[in-house]
Amino acid sequence: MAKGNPILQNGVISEWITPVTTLNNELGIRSLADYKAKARYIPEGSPGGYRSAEKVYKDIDAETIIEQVKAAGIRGKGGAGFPAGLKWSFVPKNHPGPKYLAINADEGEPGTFKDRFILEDCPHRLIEGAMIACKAFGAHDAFCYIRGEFYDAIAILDRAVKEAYAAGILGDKPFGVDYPMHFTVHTGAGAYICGEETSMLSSIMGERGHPRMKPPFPAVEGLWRKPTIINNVETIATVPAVFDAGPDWFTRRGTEKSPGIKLVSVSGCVRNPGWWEVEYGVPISTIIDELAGGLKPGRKLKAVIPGGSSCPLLQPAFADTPFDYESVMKAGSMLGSAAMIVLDDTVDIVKVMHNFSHFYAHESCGKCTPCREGTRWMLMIHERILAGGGSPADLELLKDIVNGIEAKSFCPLGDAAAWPVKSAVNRYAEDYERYFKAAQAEIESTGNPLAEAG
Amino acid sequence: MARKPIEYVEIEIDGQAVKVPANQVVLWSARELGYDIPHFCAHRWLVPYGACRMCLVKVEAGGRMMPKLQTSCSLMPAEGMKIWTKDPEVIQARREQLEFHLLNHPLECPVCDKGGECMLQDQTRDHGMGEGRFREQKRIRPDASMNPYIRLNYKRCIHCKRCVNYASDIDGSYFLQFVDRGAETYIESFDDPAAAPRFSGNVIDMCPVGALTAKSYRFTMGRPWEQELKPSIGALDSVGANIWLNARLGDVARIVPRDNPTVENGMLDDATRFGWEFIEDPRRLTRALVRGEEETRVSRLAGETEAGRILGRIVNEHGPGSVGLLAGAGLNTEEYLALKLFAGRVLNTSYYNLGDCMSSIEVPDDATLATVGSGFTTIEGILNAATVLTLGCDLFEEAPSLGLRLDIAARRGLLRLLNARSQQSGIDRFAELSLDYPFGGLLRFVRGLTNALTGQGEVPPEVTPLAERLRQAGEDCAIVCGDEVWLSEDPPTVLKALAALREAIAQASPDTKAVYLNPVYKSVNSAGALLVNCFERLTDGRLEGVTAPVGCLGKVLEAAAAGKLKALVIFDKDVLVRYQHRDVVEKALKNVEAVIYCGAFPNATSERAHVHLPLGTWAHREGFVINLEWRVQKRLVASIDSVAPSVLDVVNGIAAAMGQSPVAADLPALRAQLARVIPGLPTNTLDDLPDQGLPFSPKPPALDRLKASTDLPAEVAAPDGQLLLTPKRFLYNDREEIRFSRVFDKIPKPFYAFLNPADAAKLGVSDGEWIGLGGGHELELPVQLAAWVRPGSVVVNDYYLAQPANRLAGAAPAAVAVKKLAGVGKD
Amino acid sequence: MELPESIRGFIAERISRYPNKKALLIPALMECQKLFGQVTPEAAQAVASELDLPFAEVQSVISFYTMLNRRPTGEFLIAMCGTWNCEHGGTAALIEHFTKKYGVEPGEVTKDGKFTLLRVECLADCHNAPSSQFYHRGEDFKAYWVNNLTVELFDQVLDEVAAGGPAALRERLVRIEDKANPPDDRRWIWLVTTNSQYPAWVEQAGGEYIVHDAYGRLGDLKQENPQLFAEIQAALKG
Repeated sequence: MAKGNPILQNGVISEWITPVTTLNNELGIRSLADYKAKARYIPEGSPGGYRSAEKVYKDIDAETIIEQVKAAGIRGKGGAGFPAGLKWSFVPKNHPGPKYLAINADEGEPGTFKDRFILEDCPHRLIEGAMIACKAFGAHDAFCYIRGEFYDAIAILDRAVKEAYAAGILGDKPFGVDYPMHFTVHTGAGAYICGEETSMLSSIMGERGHPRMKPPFPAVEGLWRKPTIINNVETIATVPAVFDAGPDWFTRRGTEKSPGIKLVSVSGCVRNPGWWEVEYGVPISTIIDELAGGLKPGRKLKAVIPGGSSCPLLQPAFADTPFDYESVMKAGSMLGSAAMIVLDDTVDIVKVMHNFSHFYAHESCGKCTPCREGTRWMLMIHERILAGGGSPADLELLKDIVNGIEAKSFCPLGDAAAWPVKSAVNRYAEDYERYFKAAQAEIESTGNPLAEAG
Repeated sequence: MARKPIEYVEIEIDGQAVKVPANQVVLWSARELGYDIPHFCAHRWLVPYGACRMCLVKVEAGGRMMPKLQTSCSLMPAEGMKIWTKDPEVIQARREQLEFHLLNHPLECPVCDKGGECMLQDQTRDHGMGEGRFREQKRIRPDASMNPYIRLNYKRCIHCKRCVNYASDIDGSYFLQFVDRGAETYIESFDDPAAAPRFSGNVIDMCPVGALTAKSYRFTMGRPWEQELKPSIGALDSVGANIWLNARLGDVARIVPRDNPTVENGMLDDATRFGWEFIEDPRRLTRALVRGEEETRVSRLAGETEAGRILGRIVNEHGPGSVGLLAGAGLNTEEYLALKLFAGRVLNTSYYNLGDCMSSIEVPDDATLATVGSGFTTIEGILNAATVLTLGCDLFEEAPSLGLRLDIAARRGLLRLLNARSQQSGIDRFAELSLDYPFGGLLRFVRGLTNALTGQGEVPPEVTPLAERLRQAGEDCAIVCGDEVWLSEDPPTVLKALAALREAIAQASPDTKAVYLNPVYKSVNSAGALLVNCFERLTDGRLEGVTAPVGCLGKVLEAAAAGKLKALVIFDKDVLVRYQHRDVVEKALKNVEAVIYCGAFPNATSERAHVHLPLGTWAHREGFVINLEWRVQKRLVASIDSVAPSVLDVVNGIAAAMGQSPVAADLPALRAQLARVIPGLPTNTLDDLPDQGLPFSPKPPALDRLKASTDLPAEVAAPDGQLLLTPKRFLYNDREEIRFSRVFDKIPKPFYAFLNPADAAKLGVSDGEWIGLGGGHELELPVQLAAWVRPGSVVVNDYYLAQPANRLAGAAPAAVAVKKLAGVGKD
Repeated sequence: MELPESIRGFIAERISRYPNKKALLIPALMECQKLFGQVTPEAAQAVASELDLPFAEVQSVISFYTMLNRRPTGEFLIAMCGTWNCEHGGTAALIEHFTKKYGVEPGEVTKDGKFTLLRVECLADCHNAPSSQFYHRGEDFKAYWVNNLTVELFDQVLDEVAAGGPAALRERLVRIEDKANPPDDRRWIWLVTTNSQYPAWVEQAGGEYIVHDAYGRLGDLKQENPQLFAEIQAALKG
């Protein structure tokens, strides 16, 4: 295995574990002129942005688009990993329309940072991907829902959209083809829950970001009760490459069930945090050590959160797990949004859980009772533990609360709040027990009956 | 559209095979079958919300066990589906969800109004854990007033969102909203203090806990199980909303809906719901007033004796037909028979009028009676029709529960709503088409529309878009008409025009199998009054010693004004303010020798009476009433301590004072007589009358062909500089139920001159400034600008005692001069 | 209140893209937030009227979203991330410093009206923890990343912004480290600024250090950000 970071060296990509592929070498290509002149779909490919979309619009029918994307094995890159082509095929074909593509750029999962860079540094790639996706299921309108904090990304994408309209790429006759295609940038206003697909739809429609009941599923009844496909930014940005390099470029990489490539964000107790594009199946430890510079000197690995704060913590024994959906699930966590947070032995898991509980309690939309009440309860318990008022009964209580939320909340935010705590109390109970021992010692030394725990 | 037959599917619940409707979620079907699936956020008026998670069940569908428990409130049944409601996983889930619900809930059942009828209490007892484990600080917010009727105890709120969903999806007021997010979410009221709430009280019933409570019910009335519940009927309109009258230890506690899905479906308007304090208001008469040289208060028996003495003298001196008898339409049907017998046998007169809708001179002719007595449908029939045409009414004011149900059906696209009315109305918002015409132009519009459909006679161009739609009215069409009919110069003429329209639609629309006409009557028992008043011609019945009335309200008043009648006996009717031709009433009241008034409260007419006899309110007097779908419904009474005679008591008392035998021994005797002449009515006690009422069909005279005129009356227009005076029936006015119930003191009542902003600008008047209406400023009112007012009109409340509209109204339509009043500042 | 022309134009431009006006509610409210630093009831009513929505509904929506402030904020609104990566990086110390320095709590406006600090959740810049954004309200609204903060740096930035305005929110140097696992023999550094962290290699030409950022993101520093250029020169020398 070659060492080193993937780097542009005099304009040539140096060899690496996986070649830097579809996105990293397109950084800084914002303008339409640059995109058309310089952008490449794969590093070894020739430059020329919008080539794929033009080909698709002129020569490729909807069925084939879906077939090719299915063949490439593109899985949703926002967290669920659902096959994109299969999702597109759920849209009823005979529906009179309109149909919509809603692109999820709400990037709110703690630890995740990748989508913004696609929006800021390669906006036309996103527009191109949206065009192809829309033709696949008969939509003519794409909305990109960008979280409100990404002010620059919103402005940059907006500018790119205007350029595309001016150049006849978006509008009534993209590339002269009679298939109108419209793209609209839509801002959020600070709510993590709006990254959940149906809450995002609520937000686009101008409502409080509450999730909506399924069925009906968005592919049948989504925005304004019309068929709507929701895909993550990265998923859409990956699509154009399928029609330039072909599906087998993707199936040659990664694993059998998780083919292709993924942007991974690495943060936490590493020396060089950042984001890279890797093949699925690369061991987690390789990503940490080779890409992110490894742990700081003298530290030991304590836990890895593989896919964002919603995922169970993995113990060091699982550090070599191949980074693909199946392997990570087998190891007892999820790949999620591939937002890796590395925790070393200076980290207090209880403080981590306190912080995450605060996050989920603050971001809970409040619709369903288990999440609304349960997240606040978990936060208050952690606060009490940190303040010296915890006891072993709290571990059982936390397990019960997790059971009450998991699989019973209205939407996945409840599960997301429950899973990290569940993994912490099961796999890192000793961190909690340190607090309980200290609390018990305090009681015994002061003899204060009012401080009685349990 | 006729109701589609319900399809059933076979599923299994807890191992039992059952058949359930295919179009209803499993939660309701299972509960109907007796399975106790708990729930909070689901409500039969609302779409499934799925938030409380209490209704989780285990499901096997398509042969596969679903990995997660499913909410039964959103689960549609499919053939072969299996549901488990008592699986250990389900029971555990309920315990967990209840624990979450109780986490921040204050344990204050002893001081909470909802105790005893609280879903949280019941479900915690049946499905809960038994002990709470929450040791942290509970969420606290202070109580808040939501509007003049409703109080919020935020701590008790379990965030089921029923109230917020109601305010957006049902009554469209948006007055309750969720504010903030997550566990900090709370309910905030956006009640507009300048607008009177109309349907807000329903959220009190919907709230599963004691978070939203009625301010007027708070604390005072014990627990629900200690209260006496009597079935009765909403007294403020002709919908016949089913209610429970709750009383405790001799006092009225509250009114709540009695949930008749075919009438009001549990939806009450706020005036009906909260209008009960008047029943025991100290200003209600419990003694008689006698006005000789001074006004004295005497016992009611003494009052009846005095009334009898006066009437006896007059009848002796002047012979038959010297006394006129009038009655309003809020009395029970038996009482109308008592009055008819009283008029015929005791007062020896045919100058009587019972009821309020036919206010013209002559009795309604056969064609009119045929129009109102046949060709109507039920409320369900209206709501299930393919097309509903409302003419000349504002249902939210005149028949609120019906209006709301129609609004919801139109919003949901279940029917097509077409409106024609003189002013904009609340029900326009989901109508396919709403047309207006100048007030008083209803007859011209109806005839014009009929002409458009039949192709005969003149067609005013404005009716064309409506006629087009009515040519494709769908499988059935319901016409609903209202107050503008009763306010017209001759209601029978308008009714006959409507009957002709009904026929024309049936002819012009090829697929239409039936067209109905349902007039919305003015009062709770207008239909009953009409039935008894005209029973000679509405049925085959005959009663000894009683003659048909010689004319209608107008006839009686004209006779009194002309001096032919020497006395007027008036039961519960403020005719001085209600009758359009005030001058006639003034003259009548002046020219007769005696006016005897019988009613619960003083009003403009009773002030002119020589004797005012007390009468119980509807809550004191048992009987049955008939609503706008001719449904017979009972009103039972609770034990409310007070002096509150019934009409029968009063007429028997007067008869005795006149040396005559009682009109009837008791209510059962009256009913027996009534049922003999009008078959289909209850014969004895009201116990036999089903709680949901009994449909009834009068038998009006048959008509071969309706010969209806195609002549269009002249277009209505006001001369330059004048506006069309438009008296309008509002929900909130000076009716005694509202005037004497203190809860309404805080409600901003529509006692204004409503002007369209364009007209106001021309007059140079702004909101709150006063104007004088009429050449002599007969009416002086503050202005309120309202976009719903048709330009060229000035709308006033039709029952405002301080400024009665009939000082000017006279013959409708009346154009009036309008002038800004100098020197009178903003209100 | 009349809705400002810029916001009405914003709505008019986009209205044809949606089937109804309600969809523009949140974007319109965000424009108010950018312009005024808050959304007052008057602004909410103006938006409600423009979009034909009930005021009650608009207020309910505003209260749901964290970025829409119902209370007044300072000229610069500081959104300081407090989710784990940033908390671990020292958010608490930064917030405490701010409250001590100005004597106001998070959410309040400093006495000179310049700043409001808000603790927010993950800003999606976890590799640059502790991370914050400075929002400068007004017609020329701009958002600035100010990441990889230390208390000293935060203090310096606050003083410079208070004195010199938004120009002080330029990208500035935080530290330079040796790059771990350098891929070849050139001098590789790990350049940390208030925007991001860059792998770069350094060459000396004349008396100057030329920094080649591996992903080409830094641009021509000498022209575009001479102060950062000078800071890097000084750090590399020392």
